[in-house]
Amino acid sequence: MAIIVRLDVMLALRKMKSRELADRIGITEQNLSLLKSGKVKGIRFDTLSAICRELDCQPADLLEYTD
Amino acid sequence: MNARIKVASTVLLACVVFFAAYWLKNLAMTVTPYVVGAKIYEVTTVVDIDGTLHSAYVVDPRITVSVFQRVLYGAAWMAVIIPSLIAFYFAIQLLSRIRQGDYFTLVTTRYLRNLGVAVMVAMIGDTLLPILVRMILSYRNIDGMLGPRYFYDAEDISLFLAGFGFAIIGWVFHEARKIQIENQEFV
Repeated sequence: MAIIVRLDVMLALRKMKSRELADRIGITEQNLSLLKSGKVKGIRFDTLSAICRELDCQPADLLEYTD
Repeated sequence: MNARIKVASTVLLACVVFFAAYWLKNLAMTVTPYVVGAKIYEVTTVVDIDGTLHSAYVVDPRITVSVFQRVLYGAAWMAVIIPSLIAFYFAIQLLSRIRQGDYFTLVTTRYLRNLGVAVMVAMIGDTLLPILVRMILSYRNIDGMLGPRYFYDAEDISLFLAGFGFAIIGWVFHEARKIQIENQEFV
């Protein structure tokens, strides 16, 4: 059971760099990198909402559940 | 700042260790003669006669205190001695951690909370023990066992409140630290 973060795919589709997204949503590049690699315990709704706004996508485009 | 904290905690640690040793020595010299010697016949209690206070022996001089009573008397004191030793242990551990720069971790905050709880328990024991001790020692008195008589010591109550404060502060810091750790792993 795992949640896979597909942020890197969305960044590639939107042709946006991690640093630019980090600046736009107001978190550090290090934390964004941890989120991309799935090395965090959770994501705040505020952060998720800001990512969705900047990448023009839905939460389901960023997160995927697998057994 | 860290150097000052280190010096202050080292001084306090030395004081606590010295006081713990002094307390243990006094305890051994005070309680032991009552448990194993003839001093048990000298245990007194305060009685109020015509509005004036007098001391009276708890043990009837015509009877012999049994071994069972002595053992019970010694065991009753454990209600104060054991929590006090635990409090000293946590105080020494806490100050050692602070001395090493380990300020508000889960371990130090737990030590602070446990120190407070141990002090509270010891002071409750110290307040309630005289009631129990009086009854244990007078159990075989010819005129009958003395009834419970409550009195409080302001020092015990002050220490109880201090322990209560330590326990609450330690508990709050412990919970705050847990929340901080949990939040650190969220982005």
